Amino acid sequence: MISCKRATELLSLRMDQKLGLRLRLALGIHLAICSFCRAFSDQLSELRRVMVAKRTVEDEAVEIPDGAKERVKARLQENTPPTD
Amino acid sequence: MSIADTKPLRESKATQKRTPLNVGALVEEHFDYLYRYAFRYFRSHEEAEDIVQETFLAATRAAEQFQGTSTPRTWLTGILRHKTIDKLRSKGRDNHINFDELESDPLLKSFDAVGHWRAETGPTSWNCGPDDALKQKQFFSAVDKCLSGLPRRMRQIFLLRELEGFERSDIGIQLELTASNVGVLLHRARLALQACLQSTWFAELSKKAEP
Repeated sequence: MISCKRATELLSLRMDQKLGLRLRLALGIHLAICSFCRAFSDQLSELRRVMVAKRTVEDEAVEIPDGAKERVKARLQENTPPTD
Repeated sequence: MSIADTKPLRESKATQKRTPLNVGALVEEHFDYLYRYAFRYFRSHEEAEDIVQETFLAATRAAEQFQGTSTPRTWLTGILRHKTIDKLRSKGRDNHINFDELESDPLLKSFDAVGHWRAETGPTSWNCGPDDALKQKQFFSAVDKCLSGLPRRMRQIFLLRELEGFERSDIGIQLELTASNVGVLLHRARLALQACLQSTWFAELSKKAEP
């Protein structure tokens, strides 16, 4: 029987790649009897969903400092060879 | 999606002559988007501005590599992503992670000596997600606080995985870590975020829900 710590490692791995049969089995048996790890498993999926939802909202909220765009534009114009 | 898609741009003499590209218009249209992308990873206005400028500079020098096969935004984002990873890698060299220390780190306090959840901190259901816009905003800021609590490197790897969808092996190659070290960091990041959200946001919610 694997420990909860090991089970969370496998749950984390499962978010990133497909588990082999042996690991799937070990994890499945653990989850069947461990409600903490079942909850953790749901939370990892929730965390992923939240990160994506949050990115959209959060990106809009980043305040771009005044003049940043103009500074970059000006520096680029200095650095760009003239178009003839 | 693979990081390898964005090859370094060659900045030869030939590519530096005449560019039909209107840089001003490009900056006008895409600056905000690229800036926010960069800010996500560096959380510093100075660094975000620098790297976005470098991105436009590289774009003007490689204008003819842009074949119109993708949208300008996709093209520019590809350049920025490449530069971002380059920078994260070079920063990583002086920001080294001690993997032995991670084994004993406080993030693992969720477990007892034999690796089982401690009863008082074990995960409980999160059935009380935010239901309105204001609450969602507060929730996102709670998530943000938890993210800020992660070691910088760990946070960046977590973001590369969750937001860019990069594979563990790709992140490893780009940041000069083994895939298994990347796995260790992702595991720690997830444990830490779970513990942080549970003890800050969700514990508060269930307290309020009680009569």
